[in-house]
Amino acid sequence: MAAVLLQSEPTETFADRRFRFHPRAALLAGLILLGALIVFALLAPLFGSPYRVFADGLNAQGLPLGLGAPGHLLGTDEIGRDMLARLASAGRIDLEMTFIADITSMGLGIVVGLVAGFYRGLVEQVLMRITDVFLSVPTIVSGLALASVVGEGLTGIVVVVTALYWAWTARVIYGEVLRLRSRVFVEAAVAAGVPRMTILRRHIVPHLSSLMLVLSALNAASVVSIGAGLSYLGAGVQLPRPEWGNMLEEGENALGYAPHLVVEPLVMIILTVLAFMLISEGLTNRGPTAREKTWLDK
Amino acid sequence: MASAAAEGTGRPLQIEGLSVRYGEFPAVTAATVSLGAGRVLGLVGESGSGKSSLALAVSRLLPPAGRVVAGTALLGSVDLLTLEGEALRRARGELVAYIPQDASAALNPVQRVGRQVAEVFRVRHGLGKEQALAQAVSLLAKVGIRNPGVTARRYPHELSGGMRQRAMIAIALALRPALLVADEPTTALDVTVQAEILGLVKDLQADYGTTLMWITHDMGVVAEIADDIAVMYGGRLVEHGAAVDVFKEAVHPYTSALLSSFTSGRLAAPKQPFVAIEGSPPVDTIPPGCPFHPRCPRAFEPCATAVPDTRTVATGHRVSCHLTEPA
Amino acid sequence: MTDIPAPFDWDEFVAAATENQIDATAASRRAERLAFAGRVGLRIVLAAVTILAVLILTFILEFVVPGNPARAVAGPKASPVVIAEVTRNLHLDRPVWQQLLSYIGNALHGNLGYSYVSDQSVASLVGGRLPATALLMAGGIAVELIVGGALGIWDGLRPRRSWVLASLNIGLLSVPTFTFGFALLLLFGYVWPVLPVTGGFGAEQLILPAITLGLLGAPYYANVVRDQLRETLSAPFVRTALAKGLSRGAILRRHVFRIVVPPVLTMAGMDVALFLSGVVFVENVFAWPGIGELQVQAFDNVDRPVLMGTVVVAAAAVVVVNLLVDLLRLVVDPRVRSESL
Repeated sequence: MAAVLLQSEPTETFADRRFRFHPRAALLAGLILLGALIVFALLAPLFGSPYRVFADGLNAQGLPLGLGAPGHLLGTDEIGRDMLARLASAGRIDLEMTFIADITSMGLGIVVGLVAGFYRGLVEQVLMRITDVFLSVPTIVSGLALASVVGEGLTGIVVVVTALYWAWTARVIYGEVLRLRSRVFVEAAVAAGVPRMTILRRHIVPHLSSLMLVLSALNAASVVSIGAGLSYLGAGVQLPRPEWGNMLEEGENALGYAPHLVVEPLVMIILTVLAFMLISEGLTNRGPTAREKTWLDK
Repeated sequence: MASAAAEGTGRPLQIEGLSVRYGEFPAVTAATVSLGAGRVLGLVGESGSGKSSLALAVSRLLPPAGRVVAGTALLGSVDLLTLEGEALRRARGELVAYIPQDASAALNPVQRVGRQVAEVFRVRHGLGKEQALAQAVSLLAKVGIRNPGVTARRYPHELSGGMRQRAMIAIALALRPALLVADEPTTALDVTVQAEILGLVKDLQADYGTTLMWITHDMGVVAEIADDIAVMYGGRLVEHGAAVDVFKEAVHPYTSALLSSFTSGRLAAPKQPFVAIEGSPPVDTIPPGCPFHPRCPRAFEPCATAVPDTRTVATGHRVSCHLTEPA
Repeated sequence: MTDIPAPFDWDEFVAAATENQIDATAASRRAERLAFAGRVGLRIVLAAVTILAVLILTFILEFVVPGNPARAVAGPKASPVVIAEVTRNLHLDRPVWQQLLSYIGNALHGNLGYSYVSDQSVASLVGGRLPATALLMAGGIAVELIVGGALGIWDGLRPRRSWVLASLNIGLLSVPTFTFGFALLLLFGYVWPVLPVTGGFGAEQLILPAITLGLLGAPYYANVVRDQLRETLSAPFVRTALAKGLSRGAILRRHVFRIVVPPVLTMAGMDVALFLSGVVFVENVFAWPGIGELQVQAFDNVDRPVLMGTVVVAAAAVVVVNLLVDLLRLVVDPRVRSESL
C-alpha cells in the first residue's frame, strides 16, 4: 500500500525534461560511435602501412611530429611512423579481439549459467563452486600468469580473456534462471510434464535474451580494456604489430616530450569502451524505483 | 480505571473541509468530521475510498506525493495541518499518534524491539539508555506482552505478527497522545489475534481517555468499538453520525449496502445468500456527481451530474445524498 | 477407598507453563546459535575449497601445461645432464599426483617455490611487496568509499536523480584503469607538475595511484549508496521514526545509515578482487613497488613460480577478505543471522 502511495506525481519540471538521460539516445549514440570506429578500422589500408618509416617523420631535433603536421594528421611516432596509419591498423586488431573474445566468453558463461541454473543438485553445486573460484582470482594477476603459459598474439589474448570473463556472465545468468525457475509459468510447464530442454528453449532463453544483449555489451567494454591492458603490460599482441595497448607501452617513455603518443591510443580505447557502455545503458530497462519519493522528501 | 478516563488526555477533533490530492487525483474531497474528546470514531470504507489518506493527513504522515490542498483539523485549539518544524515534531506522539496496518514493515528490522520503543523516551524525554529501556519494558508489559524483558531484547522478525503490532501500539501510546489514529491495525493478523488487539486498544483508550480514530473496512469491528461512525466513498464523506443511529437507520444507500453485506456475511443464518455490492469502487478517476451513483441501486437524474449537499437528517447525523433532498 | 484428588493448582500450572515457555525460547536460541555456527563453518570450508582449487589450477599451469618445466628452469641451452639434475631436484620425475600433493603441502606451509631468475623464495619476494600493495589498496578503497559515499548520499537525499551522477557514472565507467592513470600522470606530473613521476614508495607517490584506483570505482559506489538510501528512506519504518518525532538528522543517523552501510561494506569487500586487478595496472603506470610490478617483471622474465605465487597470494587475499566481510555481516545484520541455511 505504502509503495503504491509513494509513487510520485507524474508532473515534471522543465529542468528534469532537459537533463534526463534518454535511453534511446544513449543507444543510438553508442551504435553510431561503434559504427564509426569499425569504419575507421576497416579503412586502415587507405591510411598506408603502419610500418613505413617516413624520412620527414621527425623534426630537426629528431623528435616525433605533433598533431596536424603536414602529411601526418595525427603526428608521427618516435621513429617517424604515421600515427594515423598505426591507430587504424591497431583498431582492426583490437576490434577483432573484442568481438571474438566477447562471443567466446559470453557463450561459455551462458552455457554454464543455464546448465547450473536449470539442473538442481550436484551439477549446480559443482559448476557454481568453479564459478566462485574464477570470480575470486583477480583478473589481471591471473591473466598475466595464464598469458605466460598460453603464449602471445591474438589467440593468446582471446584464450586468456575468455578464461577470466566467462564466470561473471555465468553468475548473472545463473541468478536470473533461478528467479525465472520459480515463476509460475515455468512451474506450470514443469508440472505439465514439458521436457526440460523445451522449457529452457521456450520459456527461459526468450526471457533472458534482452539481459544477454546488455551483458554482452558490458562484457565487450571490459574485454576492450582488459585486452588493451594486457597488451600494455606486455602480454598479447606483440610489437612491431601495432595495437592500442602496446602503442601505449611504446609511447610511455615519451610522455614528457610527445604526449600525443599516449593520448591518441588512450582516446581510441576510451571511445571504444564508451561506445559499448552507451549501448548497454541504452538497452538497460531502468525500474521505476528511480522515480519513487521517500519520507524525507519535501 | 473509570476515574482515569474522566481526566483523560483526549481532546476533541474537528476536521473541516479537508482535501488531499496525489498529483491531480483527489484522494479526499472536502471531508468534515467531528469527534468528542475521548470518543471512538469508526472510519469505514472500501480500499481506495480515501480513508487511509484522511488518516495519514490528520497524523501528518502523508507520503511526499500527497498534498493537503484545503481544510483544517483542529485538535482542541491546535490545527494539526498547519504545524511545522519544531512544533510539528513536538506534536508527534504527544498530540497525535499513528498505528499502521503492517507492523512488520513499520519496525526497523535491525534494531531490537525494546530499543525502538525506548527511543521515544530517549529522544522526547531525554532519558538515558537504561532508564528509557526500563520505561519501554514496563510499557511493553502494559500492551499485554508476557516476558517484556525477553521480548525487548528480540528483533522484530523474531516476534509474531500480534506481538509486533503490540510493540507498535506501545510506541504510539508512549507519550499518551491526545488523538490516536489506528489505520486498520488488525487487517494483517489472524482472526483470534485481531480480537485481542482490538480489545487491547479499546481498553487502553478507555484507560488513557484518548480520542481514537479507527480506520477499517470491517463493519463488525466498528460495531464493537465505535461511538461514532463516518462512512467514506470515492474520497467523500457520505454519512456521519452516532454509531447507534447509523446502525439503526442508515440513510445513504452505500451505508445500507455495507451494512447488509456485513450482516449477510457475519451474522447470517446458514445457507442465507451472501449480499455483495455490485460493481467495484473507483480507482483511477472519481465519477462526476455523487461518486457512488454508478453502483447505486436507487440513483436518479441529479446523481450523475450534481454532487449532493450534506444535510443533517437527525441530531448529529449528516448524510450526503440526493435522496434526502426535500421534495 | 477412593483417593480424594488434590484440588488443581492453577497458580502452579500457570507458573510452570510460563517457565516452559522460557525454556522453549532458550531452546530455540540454542538451535539458532547452532545454526549460526553451522553457517560460519560452511563458509570457512567453502573458502578453503576455493583456495585449494586455485592451488590445483596454478599447479596445472606451472607444471602440466608447459610440457617440460625442467627446460624452462634450466634455460634453452642447458645440457641434458643439467636438465636431468633439475628434474631430480624439483622431483619432476615423480608421478604428477605426488608432485601436486607436495606442491599443495608446501604451499600450505608457506613455501611457494623459488624464482627461476633470482633464486629467492617466492614467499619472501611476494611478502616484501605485500605492504606496498596493501597500502595502495587501502588508499584506493578509502578514496572510493569517501567520494562514492558522499556523492551517493548527496544524490540520495534529493527527490530526483541527478543527471550529474548519471553522466559521471557512464563517463568514468568508460575509462579503463590504466587509461585514467595515464591521464592523471600527464596532468599532474607533466602539464602541471605538482607530484613526482619517478615512482617509488612514499606518501607523495601514493596520492595519484590511490586516486586513480578510488575515483574509478566511486561512481559505482555512489549509485549503490544512492539506491540503498532511497530504498531505505521509503520504507515504512522511516515513517515510524518520523511519527516518533525524530529530526531528519536523527532519522538518518539512528535508522537509515545502519541499514545502508553493511551492504556497501560487503560490496567493498567483494571488490577486493577487482581492486587487485586494477592494482597491477596502476602500479606499472606509476612505478609503485608492489605485487603488480613484481608480477609484470616476472612475466617479462617468464619466471613462472613468481607468477603463480602472486596468483595464489592474491586469490587467498580475496577469499580471506570475502570470508571476513561475510562473517562481519552475519554479526551486524540480525536478519542474515536467522536466515535458514
